[in-house]
This record gives sequence, C-alpha cells and structure tokens, in this order.
Amino acid sequence: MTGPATFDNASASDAKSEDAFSVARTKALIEQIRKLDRQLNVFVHLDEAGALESARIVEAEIDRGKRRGPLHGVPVAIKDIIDVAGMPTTCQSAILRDNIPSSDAEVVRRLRDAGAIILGKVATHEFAMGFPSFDLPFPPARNPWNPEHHPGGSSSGSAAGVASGMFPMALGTDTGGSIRNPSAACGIVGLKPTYGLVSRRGLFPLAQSLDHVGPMARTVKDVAALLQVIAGHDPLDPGSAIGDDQAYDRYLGNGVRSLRIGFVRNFHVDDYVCDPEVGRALDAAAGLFAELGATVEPINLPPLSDFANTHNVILYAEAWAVHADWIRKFPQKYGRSTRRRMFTGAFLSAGDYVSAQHARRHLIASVEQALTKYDVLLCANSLDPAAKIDDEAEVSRTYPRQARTPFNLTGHPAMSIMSGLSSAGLPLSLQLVGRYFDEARLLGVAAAFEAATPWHDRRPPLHLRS
Amino acid sequence: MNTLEADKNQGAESLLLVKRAGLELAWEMFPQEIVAAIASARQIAQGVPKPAGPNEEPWPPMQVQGTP
Repeated sequence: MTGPATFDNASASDAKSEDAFSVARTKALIEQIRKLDRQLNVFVHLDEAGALESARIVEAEIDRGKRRGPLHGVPVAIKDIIDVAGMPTTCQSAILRDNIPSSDAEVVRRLRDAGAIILGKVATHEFAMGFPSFDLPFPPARNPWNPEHHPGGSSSGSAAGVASGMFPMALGTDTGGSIRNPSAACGIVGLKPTYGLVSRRGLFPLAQSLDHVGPMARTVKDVAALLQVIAGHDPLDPGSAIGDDQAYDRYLGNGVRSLRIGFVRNFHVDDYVCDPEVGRALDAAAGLFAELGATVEPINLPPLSDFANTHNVILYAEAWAVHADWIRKFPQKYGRSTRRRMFTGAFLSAGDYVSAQHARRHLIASVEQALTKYDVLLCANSLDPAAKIDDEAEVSRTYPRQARTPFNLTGHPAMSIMSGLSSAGLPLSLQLVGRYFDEARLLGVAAAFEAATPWHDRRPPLHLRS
Repeated sequence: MNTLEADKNQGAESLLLVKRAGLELAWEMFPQEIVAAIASARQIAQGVPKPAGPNEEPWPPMQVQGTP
C-alpha cells in the first residue's frame, strides 16, 4: 500500500498488520485531510493529538506481534452526536458548542477496544434533524462528487469523508434515514441495523424509539467488519436487545441463488414518481438479482404517506420531549430548519402520539408479513440524486422523497448501496431490507450486488488520491 | 363568519396552543414559524392511519413477562 489515502483499492478490514496506520502515515493522512476539508467541511473536530497517540499504541502493539482484529490501526470517524471522551459533542448546534463529554459512547468504547484510530468528530445536521443549514456554528458538509450538491444527511460528514477517502469507515445514526440518505448521496454503503442491535448509550437522542447507530463504509465487507465490533447487548441501554453473537460476514461471497427477493414497487412507482434514472437503476438491480439466481417478485407495501405521517408524529413528539425546555428558553439558538421541526412536536397531542403507535403496529405487521415470504426486500432509497446544497426549494422538495422512514418505524435492518451514476455524475442508490437480526443475510445480498457491479470502484472527483 | 373574524379566531386558537406549549417567547420571536408548525402538526396527525377499533393496542406490546 502506498500513500496515506485510506485503503483506496481494498476493504480496510482486509488490511494486514503492515497496512495499519503508523504514526507517520496518520500524520500524513491528517495533513491531506486538512487540505481536502477546506472544500468538504467534513470535520467538526479533527483530533490530531489523539489520533497520533492511538497510532503510537497501534505501532507498539504490532511491533510486539499483537493484532487485535481487522479494525486494528484503521482510522474511523464519529458523527458529532455520539460522545467521544475529551472531544466536543456539539450536535452541530450553538447550544452545545462547549459540550465536552467525559466518557465514550458504548460504540466508541468498542471501537477503541478493537484498536481503531478515532480521527475525530464529523458533521451532521443540527441535532441530526432537518436539512443542510447555513445558520449553524459550522458550515454544512459538501458532496465529494460535486461540492455544489448536498451530501445527504444527517450523517453528512461520515458519508462525505468515507466517499472522499479521508477515512474508510465511520459511525452514523439513523432516525429517519440519516445513515442511508448520505450513503446514497455519496455513493457508499450504509447500514441501519435492527433496532436494539447496536447500543445507543452516549448518543444525543433525537427520537429514542426510532434512533439507531450504524456502520458506514465504502465496501460491504467493511460495513460487516464495523458492525461486528459495535453490535452486541449493552445492559445500560434500555433499548438494547439480548441475543447471541454472530458472524456478520458469514454469507459474504455466498451469492443470492435460491433466495427470494420482494421488489417493493409502489414506493417509487405509485406513491412517488421517482427520477427516471433512479427507476432504471432499480429495475436493472432487480434484473441482476434474477440473473444471479434469486427469485425476484414485485410486491406492494402500504403507501409511503402512511409510514411518513406515522413516523413524523412519533419523531416530532419524541424530539419535542427532549428539547422542550431549551426551545422554550432560547428558541433563537436553534437553526431555522431544526427549530421549525421542533415547534411541530409542541403542537401534537398525547392522543396523536398514541394513535401513531397504533398505526405503527399495523405497519410493522405489513412488513413482517412480506418478510415471511421473502428473505430480503429490494426497494427505492432516495428518489432523486442529491440537489444543489444552496437551492433551498429543491432541497425541501427532494429530501422527503425517500423510502427510508418505513424501516425506522418498523425497526428492520435496512441498507443503502450505490446502484449507478446519474447523467450529472451523482450517485444513485437502492435499499435492501432484511428480517430482524438477519444482518448477515442482508449483507450477503448486498455483497453479491457489489461483486456484480462496478459502482464501488468509482471514486468522486474530490478524493485524497485524485 | 367573515375573513377578519376567522383570522381573529385562528389567532386566538394559536395563542391558546402556544401558551399550553409554553412557547410564548418563541411566539414573540417567530410567529410565522409557529403558525406553520401548528398547521404541520395538524396535517401529519390527520395523515396517520386510524385504528380499526377501540380494542386495538399500540406498539410496543404491553409485556407481562420477560421484561428485564
């Protein structure tokens, strides 16, 4: 391997001991990140001292012949709503600008144990809500495929940093699609795991019954490796599931022969009419899975509007409960986009919230029913390529045109993978959805798609190697 | 009711909701955002599918055992 770019031609989790980031390599990487980040605004806090200290420890361990696992010496970035001891957790907000937690989130603790190098904290939408905003203490992250376009959100820095080669892996969070949206916009792989599989302890909450922490990376294999480290029961997270450990890479390379895939059509054909290039890429993916030996059948789920309204009532009500005290005292400290959504939560009643939880039960049952017949669902992700970041009307129009919120509501694992490039050179994506705690199967299907398509080898114009 | 009276009534209703939510300061600073939020809350709540009957239970299921 040459140069400091992060595992440009392979999965980071395939790296050997000699590929681990030494002090010299980490120093060079940080210098390159600083230059590229002038255009992308990925980092809220780049922890040079901490990263070099971690690299020193990695170097010493490897010299002694110690190898902690596939993430040993791999640089990882953390979305800035997840606590890392000694680094700011600002949530991209003026309100928490000086908030420095004294302990690591459980997922960060697990990463450190695995020998990962924590590079720093990366951009998000304010409190993981709303749109890219220009009225916050930090500028919004930009898309490395074209910096005039948004990189999706709210895990915007995580996706832009992975796509641009600043780091091979990152943690994101997903309450209404916030891992899968930026993964789609930036052409990387992002997984929202089953609700409860990954600890949320140390995460600043958006809406607790919808919040998920998950892995983002350039390859399916790296997503599996990162999930392997962060998944598992946490007795101090009341939403954490109790279950057996499993190997998430066990179906990688197995293909899709004899699997049944339900192709959800109503989301992008009836409920919204997707961008034609998105639709063609989805049809091509369905055809490819069939060629690879899967049985692919068209199905319908309840309309997206049922999912979206139910999701929004729950999200806004729960977010209001978190923020009510602050927003009553100093509403002006929030960015406009976040504040308007927080206000909505104030005007929902207890009855509205319980009614939404009634509806949620039915919507969960509808997805569960589909997954009794099918191993995996294929469906739309973003219905349009990323809009220009400063075109507020177009961002407002296209952001809600997506099919991700259904699976925050139901808790099923769902992932984003690149499915093509638009004529304007922006990534297109699809979404795969699995059964509860069946991430291994889901990753296996995604890996089969990745192996049969060229998209994961494409690099954006703004990249450390370019 | 004429338009002026309707606007007045709407304003009075908004003020009531604002007071109940404790958002008087926000109302002073961002009245248009508050009016939009009231409309948005109404719209999304109305869009939620209704339960089939009074005996339906919400999610999550009410557990009687197995809770840690």
